[in-house]
Amino acid sequence: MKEMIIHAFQQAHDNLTRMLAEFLPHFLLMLVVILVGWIVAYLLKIILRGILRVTNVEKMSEEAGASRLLRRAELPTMTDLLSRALFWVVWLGFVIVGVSFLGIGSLQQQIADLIALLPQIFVAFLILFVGLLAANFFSRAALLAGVNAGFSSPRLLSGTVRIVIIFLALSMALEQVGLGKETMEIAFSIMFGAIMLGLAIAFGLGGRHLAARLLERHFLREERERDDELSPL
Amino acid sequence: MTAPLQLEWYKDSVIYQLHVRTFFDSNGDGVGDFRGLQRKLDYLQELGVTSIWLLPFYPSPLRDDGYDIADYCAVHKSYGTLDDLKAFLDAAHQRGIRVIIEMVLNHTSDQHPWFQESRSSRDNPRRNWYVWSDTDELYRDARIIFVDTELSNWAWDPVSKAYYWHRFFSHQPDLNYDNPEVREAMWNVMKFWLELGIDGFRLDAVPYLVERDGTSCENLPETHDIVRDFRRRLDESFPGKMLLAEANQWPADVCAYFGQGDEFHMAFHFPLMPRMFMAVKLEDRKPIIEILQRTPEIPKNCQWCIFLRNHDELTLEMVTDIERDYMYDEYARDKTMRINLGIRRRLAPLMDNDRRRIELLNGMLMSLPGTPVIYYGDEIGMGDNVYIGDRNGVRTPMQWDGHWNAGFSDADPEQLYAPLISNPVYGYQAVNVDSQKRSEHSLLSWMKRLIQVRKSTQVFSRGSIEFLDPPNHRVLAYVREFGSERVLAVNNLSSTSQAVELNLKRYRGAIPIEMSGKTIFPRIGDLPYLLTMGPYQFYWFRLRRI
Amino acid sequence: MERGVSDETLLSDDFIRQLVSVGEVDLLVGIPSRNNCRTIGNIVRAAEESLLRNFRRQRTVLINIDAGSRDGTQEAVRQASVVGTNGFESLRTLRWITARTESAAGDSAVLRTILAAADLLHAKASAVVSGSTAAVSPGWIDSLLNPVFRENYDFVAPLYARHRFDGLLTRNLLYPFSRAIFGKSMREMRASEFGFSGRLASECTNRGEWENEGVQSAAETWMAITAMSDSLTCCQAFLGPKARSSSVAVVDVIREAVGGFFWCLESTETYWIHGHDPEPLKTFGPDHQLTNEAVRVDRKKMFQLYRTGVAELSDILASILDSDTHAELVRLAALDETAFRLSNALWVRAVYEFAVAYHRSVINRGHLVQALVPIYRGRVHSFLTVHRSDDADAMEADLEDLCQEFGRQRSFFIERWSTKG
Repeated sequence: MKEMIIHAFQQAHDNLTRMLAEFLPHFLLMLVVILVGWIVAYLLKIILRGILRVTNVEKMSEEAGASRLLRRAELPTMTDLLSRALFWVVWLGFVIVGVSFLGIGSLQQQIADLIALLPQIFVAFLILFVGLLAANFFSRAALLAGVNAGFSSPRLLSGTVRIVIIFLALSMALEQVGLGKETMEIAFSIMFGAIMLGLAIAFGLGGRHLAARLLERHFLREERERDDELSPL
Repeated sequence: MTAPLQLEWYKDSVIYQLHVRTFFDSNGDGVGDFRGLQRKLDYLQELGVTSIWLLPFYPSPLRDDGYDIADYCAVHKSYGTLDDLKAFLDAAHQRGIRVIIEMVLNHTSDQHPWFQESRSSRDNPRRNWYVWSDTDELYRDARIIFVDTELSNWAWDPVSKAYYWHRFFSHQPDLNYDNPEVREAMWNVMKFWLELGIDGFRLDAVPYLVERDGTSCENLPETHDIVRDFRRRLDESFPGKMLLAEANQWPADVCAYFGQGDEFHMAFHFPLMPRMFMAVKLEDRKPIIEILQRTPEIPKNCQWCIFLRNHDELTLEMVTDIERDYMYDEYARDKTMRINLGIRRRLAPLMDNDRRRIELLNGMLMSLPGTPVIYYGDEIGMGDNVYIGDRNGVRTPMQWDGHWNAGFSDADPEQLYAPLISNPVYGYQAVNVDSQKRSEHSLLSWMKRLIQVRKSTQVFSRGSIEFLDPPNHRVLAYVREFGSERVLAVNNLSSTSQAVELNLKRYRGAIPIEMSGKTIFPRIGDLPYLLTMGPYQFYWFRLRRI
Repeated sequence: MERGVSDETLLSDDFIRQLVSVGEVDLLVGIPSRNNCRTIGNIVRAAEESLLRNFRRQRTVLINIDAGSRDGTQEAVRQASVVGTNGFESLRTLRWITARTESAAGDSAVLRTILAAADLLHAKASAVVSGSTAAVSPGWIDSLLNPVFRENYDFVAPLYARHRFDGLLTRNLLYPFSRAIFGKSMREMRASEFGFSGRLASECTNRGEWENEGVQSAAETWMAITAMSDSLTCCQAFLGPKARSSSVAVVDVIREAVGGFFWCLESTETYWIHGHDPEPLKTFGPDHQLTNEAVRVDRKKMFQLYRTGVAELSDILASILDSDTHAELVRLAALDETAFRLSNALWVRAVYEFAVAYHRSVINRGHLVQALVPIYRGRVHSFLTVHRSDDADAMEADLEDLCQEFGRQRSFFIERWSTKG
């Protein structure tokens, strides 16, 4: 009995030792890969930062309004953001590769899934970011156009533009990751329909006067007094 | 060759214009003479000219450069004797060179025996040979030609106490062509020379023969009748002889002197000449094309006579005021170069002695429609002397070599009828026949080759002309066509290189062969034919179908 | 960096062919057109008459570059040309070059083509007359060509007899601003008519800045400023009455004219940053002339646009202007219309701050310039109120005051411009 127990312990010990002997090199390898990955990612980050400084990306992002957006979101500058993102993407890649060396089956499957999802998440974030920029740009353009054309509520116009674009970007981003596909489609359809209906009513009501004026001018040939315009040049 | 072709020799001619006085002095008296001229015939034959046009050599008081004739049937004693002239004529004919002489129909010198008799008394039989009047009120509508010197066309004769009519100088009384005796006498003069062997006459001052009150007394129908009469007699008795008209008029007016082919054989195209100079200065073909398009068709047996320079000034009568101002400013900024309504300069100085421009102008002269006239000395690029009076600056002695008196005469230099050109650029040491004969590339050698090419085909002398209209206005291009022969002439009027695209669709498939070097150019296709041309360059292409 | 024009595809083969056949010229008249069949005939006749009458001996060429007209403008040019040459004796062949660009090609591409032609043909003097200008007389062409051809100037800016309330952007911004910066009192920098030398044509043609948005929206301004900043000689020539343009899109004009001007400031920074003493500009003919027929202007609407603009664009203006300036503008917007005045000092400060903000690209530059529109409207409102019954002399005196104000605040502007924001 005692022998059996000892044997069992022996076996367990043996197994443990064997497992440890098997696991330890893998683990060390993983640590090495992660370490190397960190160094590589760090170097890449420094290089990218240098390149971005030289190519004046800051100014470009300033003009595009991206910097302003980042500042408002209390995010670091464009250069920082991009180089840090590169660092994390690269290092994470190395970490994942390192973990896969451990040879744990289920973990491996999980990691594979994660890796497969990673680019999609990245793209989704990119879409969202570009969407935010575009929303900002176009809403401002709409605001300026509205104000200068003398519209009564330019803010409404610019706000609508912003919301539509953000919504569009969001739905695209989510679809990219594969979430709530149908929900999104339905929501989008509802929204789109609502906007179109709104526009139709707006134009219908607004255009009433225009149409009346056109008809009037055509049939009555009535010359309406016009204000002279002053040529700025 | 058929008979009419031979009769129309003047069409294929290349005329060399000279004054006996200026060419060569055989007896060392400082004045050129017929014996001297005869000795230089070999030179002219070598040059390739086929006719010589002699300026007046008649006995004369020489108050109008010999155009004031005192005896129509003799030779001025300075130039030799009638026998000398006959010997020269024979020698010329032996070399196949024809001789054209001046005939001043309109007037004589007041020293002419006819006038002496006419003025001697009112009842002299020759009284009616000139235009006499008791009043100077007749023919008031006739303009005065020499406005600088004459106040009226009438002059008072103290001998017979009457006025006589003169369109030119007062010492040149006009003959009365209403008098049949005068016409007969003048025909006898012409007959005299024709029997001697002369090949043609250049008739001076033709438009003024007849006067009628109330008219301008120019180009009158009666004048044409007289010309027609002379021509009829000429054709009857001396077929193959030629009449050349001097009428400085617009082409449409000159055309009247061709009649129905029954008046003059040839007439000078005066308006073309200044326009050739103008075109080169403007670097624009417009003046040439315009004037040639305004030139009417002439009868089949007639021909234009074209020239670059002659013994007179570069006349600017046949240009507009704007054009005249331009020509003065560009070619005669120095006022001493101007005389009457023109510029008294030779070809080479007008062209700034630029060989390329001289060649271009000669190229156009030889390829435009008409019989070309070369003024003596221009074939070697002689200069002028604007500081000697009148137009004598372009009538200086011919420059034969670089030795004593330019080889013109053995006389003392002071004895010469006019000083030689002696400046370092145009002087006889620099510009003379002898040195140019030695060089293949001299202007003289080039002129010989040009005349040779011109004579190699009748297309230049008899062909039709069709102007091409390439977009580049600095290039003057035309096609001459005679029978099956076609020649394309392209002239770059500009001082810079030019590219030109010619529309030669009509000649598609033809191969252009450059005529001086016989070089083959690419075949003409459907696309515009592209030529690149150097400054003032010109090409003559024979368009051959093979 | 120098670039050869011939390497580029700007000039079509057909255009080059026409250039080859025209060859070197002394004078060139360029007529850009775009649906101008009503006005172009008169311009063609005027140009031809000028050349045939006053430049008879010179080698000349007329160039019409048509930007895709659909109303038969090119046909009108041909017809007018035939009539135009009748009755004038000319020594030379009158040469025309006609070309067509796509309608999408901007005005700058047309001007660039004309400049390239002037450069390639070695034109000593050239003039550009817009195909849309009414009442062009032969004297205009003479006045534009003569200073260049006979007196060796490099750029001739036009002067017109204008309605006293026309050209308010020029009067309130472009002229005094450029005069303060470049030291040259050129009144009409962005003109539809001007003359230029071969030197300037070749300088401009060889610059690699044509693809830039600034040049594309204000090529004439860029040319004028190039002439002023490249130590070339400039002058002004009085042409005559300029008809009031029938339709104006204020926003577009400001976007292009002011945006282009700001861009030019940036590209010539090295010239003006160290200051230039003002020097008078030689003027041929009268300095200025104002006409005075009645116009109806809705000033109330202008003030309204200013007020809503300042309110609605508050965020944007805050990012462009100093807080003081912004606050002052907001304060004025709250006033009653009758009490509202946008003073010279405030206007100049705002304009300078806009230029600095443009230089720093605080927001998209196109948007930035558009944000100026409400303030410009406010300024115009004040201008019209102040000068309602002023005569030409009084207006001239006030313009001088404005120029002085631009001069006074100049150092402030240069300092702000030079510090990195």
